[in-house]
Amino acid sequence: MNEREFTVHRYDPKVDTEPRFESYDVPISASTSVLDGLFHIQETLGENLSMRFSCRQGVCGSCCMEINGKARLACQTPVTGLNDRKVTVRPLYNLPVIKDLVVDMDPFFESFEAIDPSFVAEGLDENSDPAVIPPDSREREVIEPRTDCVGCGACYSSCSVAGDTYLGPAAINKALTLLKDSREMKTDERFERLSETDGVQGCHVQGECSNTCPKDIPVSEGIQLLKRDAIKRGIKQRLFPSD
Amino acid sequence: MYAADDGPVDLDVTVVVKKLAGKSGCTRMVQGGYNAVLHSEDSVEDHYMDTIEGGKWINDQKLAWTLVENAPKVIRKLENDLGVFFDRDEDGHIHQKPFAGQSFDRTVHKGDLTGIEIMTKIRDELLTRDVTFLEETRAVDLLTRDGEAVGAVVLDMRSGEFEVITAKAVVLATGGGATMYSISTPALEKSADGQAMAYRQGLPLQDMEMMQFHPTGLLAGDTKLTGGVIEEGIRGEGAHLYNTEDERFMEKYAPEKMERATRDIVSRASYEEIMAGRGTERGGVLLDATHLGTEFVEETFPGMTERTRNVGQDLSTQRVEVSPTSHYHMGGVTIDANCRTNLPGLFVAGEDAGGAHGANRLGGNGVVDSTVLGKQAGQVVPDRIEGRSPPSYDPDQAERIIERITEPLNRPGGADVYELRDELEEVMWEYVGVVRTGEKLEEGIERLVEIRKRLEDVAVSGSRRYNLEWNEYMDLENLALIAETVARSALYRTESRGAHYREDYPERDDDEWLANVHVRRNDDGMETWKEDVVFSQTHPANVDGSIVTVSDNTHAESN
Repeated sequence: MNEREFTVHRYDPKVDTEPRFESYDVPISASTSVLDGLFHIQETLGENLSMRFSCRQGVCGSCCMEINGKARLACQTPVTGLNDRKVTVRPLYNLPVIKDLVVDMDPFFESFEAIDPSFVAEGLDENSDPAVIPPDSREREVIEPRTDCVGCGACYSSCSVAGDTYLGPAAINKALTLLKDSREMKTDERFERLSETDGVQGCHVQGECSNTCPKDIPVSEGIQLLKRDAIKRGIKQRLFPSD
Repeated sequence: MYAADDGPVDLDVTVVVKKLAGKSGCTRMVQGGYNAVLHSEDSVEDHYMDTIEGGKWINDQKLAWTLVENAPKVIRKLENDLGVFFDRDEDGHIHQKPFAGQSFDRTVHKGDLTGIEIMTKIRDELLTRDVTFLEETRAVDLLTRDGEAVGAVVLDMRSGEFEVITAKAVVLATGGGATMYSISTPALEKSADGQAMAYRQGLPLQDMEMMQFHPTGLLAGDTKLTGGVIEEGIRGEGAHLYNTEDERFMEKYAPEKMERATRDIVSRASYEEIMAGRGTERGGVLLDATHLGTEFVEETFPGMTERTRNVGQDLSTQRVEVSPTSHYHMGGVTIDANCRTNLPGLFVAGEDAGGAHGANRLGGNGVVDSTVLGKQAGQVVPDRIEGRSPPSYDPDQAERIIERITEPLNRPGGADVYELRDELEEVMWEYVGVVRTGEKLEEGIERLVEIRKRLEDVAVSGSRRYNLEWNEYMDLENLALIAETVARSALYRTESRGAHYREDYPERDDDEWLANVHVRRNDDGMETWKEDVVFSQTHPANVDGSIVTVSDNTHAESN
């Protein structure tokens, strides 16, 4: 059977002064994912590695990690699809490490909280019929692909500015799905929030978020769309302040 | 959410999640969709009858009625209050597609990634509510005193520290344990925790023999992806099943409904073909969607297409290998239509609970179960706890729980937990699987008892912090316990019905078995008995004459 060398980030901040990388030989076939390789290290080699996983189907977004220099879902990354003979795995960037490959996702989800992700629609409630919105409407076309976000943090890890000074791509993508939704009412507040210094203008347009997204969401394009919208709104408010 | 909306404002809600909030469990993994009556030509009575017929008449009828009656309300809540954006028809109304075992096209969806949309929006909403999340924290056992539930011992997996949470009400919603089989669909962390915790308190479990096998789990060799669902929407759209002799074998088993027959029938047909030597080398049959057109399959089922490509196959251009895969546990803790159990202060919702689906669950009714029962529990808990002052917890009880769970960490050496887990899954597949016999079940029970015994020798390495091996030990303790309840209930039911098929009793026997098998802990071990189904809404005798009587008495009773 084919083998690959897995080099894995090991670190327990409570005990270790600094992280180290350890290598393991892992047998692989055409269907072996990077997550399978890590399970081999865990279960067969008895390494008791710490990693995060749940659905192993690419829908929960739990097993996102930096694999050969790119943030990917380990369960959806076939080992044979990687160009290198070696597989190097480390935790996501921009987030604190809890242990080995597990990061604290709190800063990432706090960025969602910052854009107030709760949905408020006037005139719609659990007793009314859902809104009639044709599938080929502009709003549906903008929103639909963007709600496939699994919250894995790949974009956050690959963004060079995400953190204290910038909300990051995923939260802004979420804001966009709400802003373009004709049912949703908190448009002004959201634009105001996104116009703050850590909002859309914080983006440096390097496009890594779109390149990395495992769900192929055009995240960067969406951020640029919102930048233009924010500017237009600013101009409109200066010209017609009473609107 | 419902608890916060409908209850007193000072409600203090803590959500304990085994993984990350909104990213754990199976609701998120729902591909196909959500059955709800929205169309004027459809009716709640029809949805109800489909559910009862699908469940082979041993459903808890009040629970089944509660599900179908509330499904449209919850769909509207999800769309209108939470912003879920379901797929639309050309005319802009919510699209509903056909699903197996249903008399009307009533399955609401968002592509084939419906669960992501639902769970993400619920999570978004809760992020802005005053709810405490304890993430990567697992409930270990319930705390009780004077015959009441008073809280739980939980373990923060990150720090390895235990915590005692006291509460006026505890709601178990941890999911089932279909993961006890070697080929299975659910999220990997699911391990029947809720059922095991309830069992240990002496609560009765029912219909435990009813484990649903989904007919089309992807076979991909030695990878954790094996067993993942190719959802039945694709059979609804017209995909076919073939054996290796190129026969569309459903012609023999269900000539009318063919591949759209219910899950139990299609699973058994595939199993029979595989056992008769007409399966692939890996032990599967072939699912063919190519005649639907590559573009159509890619566009309609993008998630599934991608997943098959990741394991070197391609649903849109070739036949893919599938096998029956353990999917959903119809059985669980006995509850009433408001999620109450026999233990005051304890509520159970979702797959941990039994009864709603009888002997077989319809595709698209699973997420109805988790969301509607979640709503029922949320609405009834505030009433229940008003003025309730449960006794304080017993520190000795908490200490005993912690001692039991930490023991494997202190053993210098012993059995390997992963080997034992593999053995459990193989025993369940072979002896308590799709086709059962009394003889095999008896042997299976013996093997399970032995596995549970050997668990006492398991040694776990490493520190307490984020220790997956330790976590696996706790999963296995619960799974092996619940596996034994499954095997014993299966041995007890000497007939075939729905998901439960006995080769030695191949016929359905309505004279004896319009009944539910119950199992509970007693001094000698496990006690099994049966209780007749209460036909509170509809009697099977009324159906053939096409008279259906559905009384309107049940949901959210105030007593």
